[in-house]
Amino acid sequence: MKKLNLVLHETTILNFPFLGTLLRRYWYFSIIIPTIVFSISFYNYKNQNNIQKRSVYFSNTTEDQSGPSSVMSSVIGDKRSGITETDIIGILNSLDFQQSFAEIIYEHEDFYKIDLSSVKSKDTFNMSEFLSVCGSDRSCIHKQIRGAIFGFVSIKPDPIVSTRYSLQVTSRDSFTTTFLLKEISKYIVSNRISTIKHKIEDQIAVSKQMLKEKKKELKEFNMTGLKEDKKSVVERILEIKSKISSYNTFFHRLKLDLDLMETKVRETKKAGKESVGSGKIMAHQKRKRLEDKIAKLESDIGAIKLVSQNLSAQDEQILLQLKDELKKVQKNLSRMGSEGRAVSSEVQFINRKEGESNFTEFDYKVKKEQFEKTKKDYDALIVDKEDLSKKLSKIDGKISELLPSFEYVKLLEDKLVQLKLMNSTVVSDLKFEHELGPKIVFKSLSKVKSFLYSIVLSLFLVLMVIILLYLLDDKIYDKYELERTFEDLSVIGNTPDFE
Amino acid sequence: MAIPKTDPTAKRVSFSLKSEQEAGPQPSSLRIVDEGNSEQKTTSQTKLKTKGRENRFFYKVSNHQELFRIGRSFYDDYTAGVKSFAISSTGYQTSQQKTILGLASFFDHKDDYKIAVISDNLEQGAFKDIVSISKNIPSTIDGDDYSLNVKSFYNHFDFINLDEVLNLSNHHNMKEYDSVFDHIVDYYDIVFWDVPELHKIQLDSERYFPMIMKFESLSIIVSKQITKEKHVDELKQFFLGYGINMKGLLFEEKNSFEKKTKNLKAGPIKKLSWWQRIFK
Repeated sequence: MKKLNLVLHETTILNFPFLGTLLRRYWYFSIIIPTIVFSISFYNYKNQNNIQKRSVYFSNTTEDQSGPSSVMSSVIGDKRSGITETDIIGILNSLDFQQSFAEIIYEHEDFYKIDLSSVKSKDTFNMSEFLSVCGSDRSCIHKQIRGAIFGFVSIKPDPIVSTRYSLQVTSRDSFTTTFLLKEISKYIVSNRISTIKHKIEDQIAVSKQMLKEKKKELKEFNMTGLKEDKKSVVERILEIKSKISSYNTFFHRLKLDLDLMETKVRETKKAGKESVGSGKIMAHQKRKRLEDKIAKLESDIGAIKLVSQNLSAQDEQILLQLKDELKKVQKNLSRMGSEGRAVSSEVQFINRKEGESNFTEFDYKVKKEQFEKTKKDYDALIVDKEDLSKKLSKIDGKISELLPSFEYVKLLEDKLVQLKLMNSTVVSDLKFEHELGPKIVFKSLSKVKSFLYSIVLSLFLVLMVIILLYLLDDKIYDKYELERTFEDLSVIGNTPDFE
Repeated sequence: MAIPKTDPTAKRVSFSLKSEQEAGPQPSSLRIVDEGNSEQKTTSQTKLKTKGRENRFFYKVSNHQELFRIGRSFYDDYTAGVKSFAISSTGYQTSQQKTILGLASFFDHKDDYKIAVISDNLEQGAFKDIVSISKNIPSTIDGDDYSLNVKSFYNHFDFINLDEVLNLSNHHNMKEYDSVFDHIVDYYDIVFWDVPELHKIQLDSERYFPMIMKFESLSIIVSKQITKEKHVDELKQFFLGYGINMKGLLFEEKNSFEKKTKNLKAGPIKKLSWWQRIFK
């Protein structure tokens, strides 16, 4: 533990100055280990196969707004997002994809020309030997091919253009690389088309099924019948409303007439029951006598004057007397003033009303009967209207309940049309470039990598070895180590040397 | 109790031994026996070096800076009261000897100390040449019953053969074998122990025990690219088991030393190319 503490440092983790001391102490390991590591690394580098790499670029047109699929989708209102970057990179990992490709490639005429051996393999590849483990079991052969081919293929996203990817094939044979690159790119396109079609067909089937179910559901509820019911009820309500309006006007007029008649009857009865006072009657009779006397006297005077133009004295006497008499009576009448005059009009009014009273009461009775009938009819109309309104609201409720289903059916029908249209115009959403990339030949571990790995490994091994040696080595090498090893004892100094 | 003498002209060293009861708490039990001179000086008494005592061996050290660094560290310990320094390793006796020589030269150069180097390998390695030209000074222990061969290198430092000291344990009549080490340490100002290999000590730990107990400080030499951690740990644990104070570790850049020696032998230094410099 003391020794380990010496190797470690509280700030830099490793005590680098001390490690330097250890490097110098075990200098032979510091030389031998890197020499061995670099020699092995150099040998490995020289013995690596030349790896043939080729790639072809392709674009994801669903993410490209000018792509055919996205244009069609936008025309018909489809807002699907298409294939994602993860999906694209993961295409090759699909076992179905691999299996189908293996089946196709196995049937290809150039299949036996390709080299499916590992890039690190040193042996010559023979396809017959490679497949011999499976005998005539096609399933096994496909699995074998699948396992070998897809170790060479990868899809990488373009670092600059987000919708661009590259399909890369690396193998130790140039023909195999180009062949696989072409075949896989072709298969990816056809696979994408069939995948998209399959997806749309599935959607069509599901939409059809749902549409059928919804329609059946709506048929059970008889939506058309409900709508017709609603129409007739609305019409009836409107009719009743019109009737009620006219009844209302008539009824109010009738009511006013009835009120008037009622007042007339009441007032007539009241007038008939009333009597004129005796004083008033006496005064009235006196006035009437005086008026009659005045009229008689005036007629006498007039007659006298008319009969004889030359009146005799007697006649004159008589005339004078008559005039005096008239003056007296007129004087008496003027003395009475208006007394007894109103009594006569009242009496006349009463008499007239007594005559009319029978007609007024009859009319009133007629009006009243008519009013009651009208009121009864009006109330019946109101009740009818209320019933119809309730019925209408019930129908409306039912219709509103069914309306979403109805809308849903409409949408489904629209969708179905869209899907059918899309299905007939499907193109691959991954578009490969016509030109393949250049052939690149390299070694799996480059010179620089090999050199860096050697440096790192050498450093690591040297450090491990010298630390291990130091931990196992019980000897004391310097004063610093001595001080740290025997912390309880002081180091006095160096022993003296003599010349 | 023995009283040491530091006179460079002393002809005989006597490690007089007496029982602790007799010795009591007095500071020193070592005595340099010189019939002509009865003057006594304690170890703390030092005098200035003369020109004739200069240690030329000190200038042979190629990495003076390192020697000064470790020497100062040991000197600090000495001033703090530590005087018995053991130098050990996981089996590199020559490195131990060179280190001891370097440190002894440093102390000797610094002041006039009585320095003892105790080793069981005086006739081999780095000591070989120096010991061969050192002057033999007879010394006795416990009167004249037992003697030790102390080799004095121009009075700079004395070499004592550890095997001779250890052999004293074979004398059954010797009462206090352990005290011999006490007397030696007490007699000198500074003692450097060239610690034998661990397996030797483990095989005969009873005899080595008094020596180990005199170690006041132990330094372990770690040799570049040779010494293993587990061996150092083993050595450390062994001496810690005795409660010895671990001073620290000394690092030996042996390879560079050898290379330099080779280059010196080969002639002028050639300029290395870039890749040689990287992996040098």
